[in-house]
Amino acid sequence: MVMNPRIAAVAAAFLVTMPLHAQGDDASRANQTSINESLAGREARYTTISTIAWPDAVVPEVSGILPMGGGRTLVCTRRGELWLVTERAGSAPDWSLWADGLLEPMGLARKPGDDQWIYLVQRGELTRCRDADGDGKGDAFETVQDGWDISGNYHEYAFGPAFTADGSAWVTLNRGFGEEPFGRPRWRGWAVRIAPDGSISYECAGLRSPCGVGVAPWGDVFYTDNQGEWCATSKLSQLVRGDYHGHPFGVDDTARPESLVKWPAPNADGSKGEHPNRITQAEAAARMPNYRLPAVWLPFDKAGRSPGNPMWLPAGSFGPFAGQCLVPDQYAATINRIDLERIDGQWQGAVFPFRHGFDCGIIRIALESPDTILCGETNRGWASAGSRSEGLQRLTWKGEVPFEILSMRATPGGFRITTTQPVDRASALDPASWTMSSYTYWYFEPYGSPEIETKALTVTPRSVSDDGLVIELAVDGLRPTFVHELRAAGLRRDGDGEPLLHDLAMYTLNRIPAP
Amino acid sequence: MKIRCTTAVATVALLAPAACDRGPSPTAGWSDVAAESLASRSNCTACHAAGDMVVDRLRPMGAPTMDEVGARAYGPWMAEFIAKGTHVGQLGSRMPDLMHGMDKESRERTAVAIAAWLSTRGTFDSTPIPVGEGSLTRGKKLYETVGCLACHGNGLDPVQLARKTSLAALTDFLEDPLKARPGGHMPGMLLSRDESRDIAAWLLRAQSGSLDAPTVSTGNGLQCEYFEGAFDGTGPDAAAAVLRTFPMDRIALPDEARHDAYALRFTGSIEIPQSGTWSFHLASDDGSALWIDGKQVIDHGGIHGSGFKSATLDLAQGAHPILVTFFEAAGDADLRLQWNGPGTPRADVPPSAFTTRVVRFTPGPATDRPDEALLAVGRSKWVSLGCANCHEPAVATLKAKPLDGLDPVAGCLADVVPAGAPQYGFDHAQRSMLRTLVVNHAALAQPLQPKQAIVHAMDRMNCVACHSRDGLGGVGPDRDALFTCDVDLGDEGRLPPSLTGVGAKLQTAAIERMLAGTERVRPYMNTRMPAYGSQNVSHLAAHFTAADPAVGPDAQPAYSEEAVEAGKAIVGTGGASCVTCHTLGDQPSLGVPAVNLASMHGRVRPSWFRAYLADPQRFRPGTRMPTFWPPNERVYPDIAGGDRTKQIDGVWTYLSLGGSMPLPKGLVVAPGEYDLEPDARTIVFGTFMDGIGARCHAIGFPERVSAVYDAGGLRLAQAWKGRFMNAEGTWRGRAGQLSLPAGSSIVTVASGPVVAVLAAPDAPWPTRTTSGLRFLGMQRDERGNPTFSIGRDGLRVDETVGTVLFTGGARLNRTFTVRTRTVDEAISLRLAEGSSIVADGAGWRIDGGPVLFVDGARPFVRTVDGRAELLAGVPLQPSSDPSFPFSAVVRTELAW
Repeated sequence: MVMNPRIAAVAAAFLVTMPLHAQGDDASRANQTSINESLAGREARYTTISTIAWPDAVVPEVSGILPMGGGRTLVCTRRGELWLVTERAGSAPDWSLWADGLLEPMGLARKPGDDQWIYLVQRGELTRCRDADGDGKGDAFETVQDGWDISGNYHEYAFGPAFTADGSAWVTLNRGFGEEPFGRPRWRGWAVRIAPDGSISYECAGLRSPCGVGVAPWGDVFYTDNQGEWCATSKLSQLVRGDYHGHPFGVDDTARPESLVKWPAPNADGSKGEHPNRITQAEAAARMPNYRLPAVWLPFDKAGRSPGNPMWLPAGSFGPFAGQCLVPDQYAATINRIDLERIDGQWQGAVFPFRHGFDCGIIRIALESPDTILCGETNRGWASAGSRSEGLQRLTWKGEVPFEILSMRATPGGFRITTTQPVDRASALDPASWTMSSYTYWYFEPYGSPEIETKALTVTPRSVSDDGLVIELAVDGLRPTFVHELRAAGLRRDGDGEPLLHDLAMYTLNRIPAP
Repeated sequence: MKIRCTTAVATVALLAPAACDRGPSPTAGWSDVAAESLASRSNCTACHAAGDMVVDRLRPMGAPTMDEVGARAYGPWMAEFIAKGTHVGQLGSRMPDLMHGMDKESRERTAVAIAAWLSTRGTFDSTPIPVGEGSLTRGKKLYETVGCLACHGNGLDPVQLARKTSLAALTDFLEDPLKARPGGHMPGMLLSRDESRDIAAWLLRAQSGSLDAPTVSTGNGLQCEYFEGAFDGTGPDAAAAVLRTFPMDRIALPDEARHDAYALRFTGSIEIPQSGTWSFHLASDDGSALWIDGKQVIDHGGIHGSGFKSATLDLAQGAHPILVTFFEAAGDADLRLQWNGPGTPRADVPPSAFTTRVVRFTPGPATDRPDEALLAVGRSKWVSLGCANCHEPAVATLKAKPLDGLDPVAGCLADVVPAGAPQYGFDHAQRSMLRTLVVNHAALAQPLQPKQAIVHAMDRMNCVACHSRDGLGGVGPDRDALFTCDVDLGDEGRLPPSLTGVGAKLQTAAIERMLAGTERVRPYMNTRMPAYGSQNVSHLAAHFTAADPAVGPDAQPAYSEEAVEAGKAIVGTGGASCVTCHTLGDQPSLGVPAVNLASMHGRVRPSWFRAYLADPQRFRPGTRMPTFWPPNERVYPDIAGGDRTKQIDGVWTYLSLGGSMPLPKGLVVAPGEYDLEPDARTIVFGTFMDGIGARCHAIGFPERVSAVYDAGGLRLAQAWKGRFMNAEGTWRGRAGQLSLPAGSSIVTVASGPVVAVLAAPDAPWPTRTTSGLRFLGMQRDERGNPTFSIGRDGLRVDETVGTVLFTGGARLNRTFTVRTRTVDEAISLRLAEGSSIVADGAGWRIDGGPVLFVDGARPFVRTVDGRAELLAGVPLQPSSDPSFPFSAVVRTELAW
């Protein structure tokens, strides 16, 4: 036996590098419990979940949703079908097969300025389709772009398209797991942009399982990634040309002439350096000039496990939450809410629980009307909460405003909390109402990272605004790049003393704003 | 408290040795993991007698038996090895130098004599052994993945090994290491005979030429890979798992094959004696295929009785790679290959025609049997030096002082080991540890508490290289990358599980089975749990059970049919859907292959099962197993009245049925559930297709003719008759399986794009990549029939695929609409390909089978690189389309 590690030595090495996520400490489990208690029942007062019934013959593994107006919705499914769903008062929804024969489409969209075509992404191509002969069914499918490979691995999904105002489509390409029957594919783990003229550009590398891509109202493009190797926990990140998001599966494609991304780890002299492993996120950002830190980390289990497409609520939608971003979760059958702000040009912000209790994991959400969101559900092949394996559900805003943390924003010495309703001043100014911890993650190959370098922080409430909506919190020991997890268990509403509907906010502090 | 000579104290010891060296004094309840492991591995009690209690506590790991060592180790190497000073660390040895103090000459003389005597115990076979070239690559991969590296690192010296042993002997050893090393020092890695041979080939690569590049030579015969299981078509594909590999001198059924449900793959080369046209005739029962030069020559697929199927091709003189695949379903079996060609009448292809690439492993050359006088010296030294104290044959042993009468600073533990005493090469720290142990000999008679005994055993057996327990051991960052898994299970799929609390988790008998290596619970994990030998480790099972108290009462819930029903509902889709991730008996899960549910009831304790289901993260932090019963939530209200206790107990009761569990929802596939059968409308089905591509649109026509368009390859790839397809591999679970036609009479239609502009009449037809063409999309007409479009700047071809009913059956109709911007280029269509295409009435017969009829162009046959192609120029006419002013329509019908 050549290697015979002495116990003490191994133990020492092991304690600092245990490659398991150790999020399940007692404190966070207790927190999980309190979330669960407040589940569907309390949330249902403000939003309701309803199911759009389907006939037995339909398997609605909904992977893309396009509301068409007038009670009509086009959905695509993992079986390669497009269904036109028509709802009329007093009768069961009508599901009519609009098209089929496609390869596992994962999203539907309209292109700005184009009311002729409907766009979708199949595994191997961006396709536009329409009803050319006017018989009410889709019959023409034109390949807009197919400049990426599929090796024949089940995990090689293509997600999107998400259109920017100029008519460019963004598509994110999943990596495969296991056999590649038709050879090593190019551009897996990349985000690509297809320009209005149909040409493709290879914009970002290092994606893992980028199930959702979406465009913010101000035009920036974001995507969500699912926790795994090199992806410490799920995340929402901005897609900017030339960025590397950390997963090296397709990183060798940066050597191709078409690549807009440089090798992420250059040596000082510019030559190709060794790809790093097992360093912290801050170290990764320092070591790799094009490494893109997420705008918001979605901590494991506290904000689901498998995010779908990010969707911004437009003005006039969902009461005070207009302008914010919703992200569904395929594992937890939930929707989370995200509020972003820009500090020194870098997006960052907080994620909050929003709605639990859907029938199945959700991968797609789409705004149907200012007060309704359609949710496309499928968990086939992956476990999820809920009692069904697939479906189409609707979340309806009832109009009553819940008592919630509307936003959590960074200040030079802490955070500014804005609530949806005036707070009880005494509770807001009581330090015991607030607890905070901060932590970061490994950048490494094992599946998911534990929260590391965790520290409890002291929160000192400084002031409450005259209207009772804005609370200034002073926090000692802010650490850039760390997640700052706030719990406001003691905060109460003015008047009736009601607690928050969700008292958890997890803020990713990429930059501390200058005074 | 442990007392040891620290470095500072040792300095003092130089001045006054007695002050320190006699320093350690007995400590009540003494134990020291490292010291006791060292004593166990050094086999101290083999010479220094100790009581049964002490031996039971130390569990000395013994030494390899020399009973058959002559077959295993090369005599001259043994002489060198024994003659060396200290052996610690060499090829894993802990053998002390028993000739310590002898001069070089007598040491070498003695070693030669002992080695000579040992080499008569068994026969070393010096015959070179040829092995198929692939063995080394497979062996390297196995060596790096099954777990060898967890202990060996890269520390096995290949040059030493190549001097020491032979491929046959190392294969034997790896297959059952406990036979030669009964102490469990080197556990069995559950290797098959072939796997053992492959690893041996990798380890002994120094016997095959240079270390980096083995000498590959050409030998007679073929390599035959043997598979078991249900096969169809033409037999095993590249992904099938090989059970055994052996040489065959001809294409025939091997003696090794069982009666039914197996498959074969022959690889090698065939020597063509003279250039010219050769015919091959393949007879098989059931399906088979012949490939030469990487191209399929004969497809004799399907389940059928024996009978020849033939093909003719032109071959140049010399060696051509050959591949024959074959499978046998049930009943009679047969496999033969015949040929005829220039100067060779039809006959079975003779063994002289087959060659294969082999690597030859050459052990040390044969040696003469030593004379009897030398053997007698060797035998007497074997006893007088004390070799027999540790090794079999223990013909006679020496007596040393008993353990409880030892001077802790004398003999092998002296600072300077005196001549005649075994020299272990202990370093200072090891010496101090053992001195303390000797001083505390009385404490060694006390049995260890279960928790301690486990820690000791995990250190002694090096379990800590892979497993952690209560914060000790486990895979550190330096070796993390050695642990791998080929499926999407994250770290749980690749890292050996933590043993913290394992006694509370597993039933005692299940731990025993794990330790004995008779149960492989995590087949997806590339690293294997080794077999340490029951005699060495079975006592640990009870220790684990005693050390880790149960997390709750272990009472079994009362069995009832209602409980089974509730459990089945929870396990199936619609409940907690355990089958999404967990294998269930012989049924793969719908997603990843997590631990088999059918094994749970016989493995885990009911108490743990209940607690784990309620909160998986508590027991496996970071597990991907979801919390299906969150606290304070009422889940699955329709199952067992929503009562969570009844639900979880129901799952346990259901799992208690083991392999007899009726399949839950989600795993039950109703007959025909995924069958796609076109009715009035043509079906188009997007899927991956085996051997074709990952962007396929399979087309099923109601006329029971089907085809597949490969959008990635810009071609209509295949057509077939009868049943269309089954979508299970594409629509069930994570899917992504490669589909196959469900029908029969499969014909290959096109290997590449239908259209080209040829630079010269004999220019090769462009491929998908050299053509400059793109896939432009698909249209469907009112019947559902598809049109696929390809093109490039200035050129577009729309290919409508349909059927025409005709006497004798439906024909496959392809209508090509070719549009161009100019008439400057001569556009050609390739309408058929084959080994032979000949005019036949109004059509063209392809390979003696299907007939193609062409309308709208005048086709002709050309032969390029031995392949016939039916080409046609495109008669372009002016059209009214301003973007494509010229067009033509060409129609074909394929009858078969």
